[in-house]
Amino acid sequence: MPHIPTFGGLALLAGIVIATPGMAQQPPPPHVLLPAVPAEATPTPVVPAEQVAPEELTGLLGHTVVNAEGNGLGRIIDLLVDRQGQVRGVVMDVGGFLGVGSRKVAVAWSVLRFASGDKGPVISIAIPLERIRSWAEYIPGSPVAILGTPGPGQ
Amino acid sequence: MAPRRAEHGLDWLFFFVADLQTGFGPFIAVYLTSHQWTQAELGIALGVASVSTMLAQVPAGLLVDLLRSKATAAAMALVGISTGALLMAWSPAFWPVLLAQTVYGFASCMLNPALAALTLGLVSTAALAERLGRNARFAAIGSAVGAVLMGACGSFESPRAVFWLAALLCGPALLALWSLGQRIEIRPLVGPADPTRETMRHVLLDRRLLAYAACTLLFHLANAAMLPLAAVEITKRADERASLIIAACILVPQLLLASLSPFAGRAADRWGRRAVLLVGFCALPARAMLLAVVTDPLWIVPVQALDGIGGAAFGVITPLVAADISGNGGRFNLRMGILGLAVGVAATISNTAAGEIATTLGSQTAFLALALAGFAAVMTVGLLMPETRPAGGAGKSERKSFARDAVPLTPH
Repeated sequence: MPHIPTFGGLALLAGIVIATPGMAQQPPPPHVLLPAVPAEATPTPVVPAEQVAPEELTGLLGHTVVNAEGNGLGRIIDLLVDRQGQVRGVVMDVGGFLGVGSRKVAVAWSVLRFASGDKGPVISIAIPLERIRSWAEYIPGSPVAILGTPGPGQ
Repeated sequence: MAPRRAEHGLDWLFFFVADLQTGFGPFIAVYLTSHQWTQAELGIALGVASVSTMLAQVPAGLLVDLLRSKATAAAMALVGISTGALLMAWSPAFWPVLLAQTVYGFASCMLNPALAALTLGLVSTAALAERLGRNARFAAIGSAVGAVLMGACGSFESPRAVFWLAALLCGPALLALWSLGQRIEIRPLVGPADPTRETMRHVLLDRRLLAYAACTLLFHLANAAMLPLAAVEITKRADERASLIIAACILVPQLLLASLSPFAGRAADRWGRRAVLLVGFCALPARAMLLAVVTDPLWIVPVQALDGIGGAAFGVITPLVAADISGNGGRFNLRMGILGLAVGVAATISNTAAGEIATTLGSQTAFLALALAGFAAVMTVGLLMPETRPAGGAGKSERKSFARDAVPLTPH
């Protein structure tokens, strides 16, 4: 199943993307467990590094997620990783106009669908727009309700 | 006719300045997120932006007071803003953005007082209120057009293009400034008079300034978080039209502001500053309470339109009160800076506190808390704010002379 390597590659790339733009001295955000990613994915130095075409990969931060019809839903602004290094979900910024009125919601990694596009992978979600926009606000440090996962007692 | 041209120049200047400032603000978060910024970095950048804008208010006011030519001060500010926009567009990396935000913060703190001071230099005392109303009208039209332009630019082109556009718009703004040319008369009133004539102590301990600063603080404590909170409710409740409805919530109040501002200016001369403030400020608790009960997203638009009433009163009266109490002491821009600081502090508290209340106790409670602050603002105007209209200046006898045709500009 080709899903697994893509997953690893994306997670690694997300790690790099998180680390680069903010300059080296910038500490990583506390809720992203950075060390887990390199420990899992760093190849031994003897093996030549894997070369991946740019259209095969994309950074996750700032990536626009679309719905089934290809209309933009919002941007991924963070990754949620658990203690085992498993990516549990993404935080998306949805709605608003000129930055006014947008909301942050957590969406399960499992509901993201990946397809190839002209400018790299296309990420889509089949959940209705209304449900995403009205989902509980993601607040760092508070219990996170992840959209697309079965809740307790369900 | 030369004064007519200068007046149109001032119209365009306010139009373009409001236009280009639309991109800065909440949109920066959208732009930086689209360039892989982490939430922690974004928090730092936005924090630096708001702190620098607050800290720069008073020093920028002092600087504009010291500069002989207010046109030069405005030009410096415009160049600073376009530099900030260019830097933002050119490199969305951490340090350039921080630098751009700081430059923008200081420049925008210089710009608003400088433009008001330019106006004071162009018109007679009698015509000031009316002209300030007209300034506010063109600023409102400018922000409405800016919101449409930049909204379209951001969604059809890229978030980055918004900042190129903002930098580009500094061109016509400078052109409008240049068209005012030498027509700006250096008047002793609040022009480049020697600031040492008035001590800092005298400015800071003035009861009228303190009272109006309290009004300003409470006004923005109630006002600043209202649109963002209402917009979040729209996002939650509306379907795919949500962004359009939010856009309407931004645009409609500006249109109302544009039509009401000149009237607010005339009313300030006829019935006094206090009367205009009272009416305008009353719209604030009314709007907050309506927002607490309205559930249909479409109905939020007409309620949010009430923002135009408060905005018109505050926008016209603020430079007017500052001019009233500055007299010819030469500290007009310092007073504008102090009031600007009050706006910044109040907006920060408002957004933080209302956001916190909304997440813990619900948005309805947050709107009621804002209504309470708005009510306190009305009470402060009613109980503390003295009338600042000059006794003889813009009284009944002079009103007719600038009512319609007489160009409210000192002939050159």
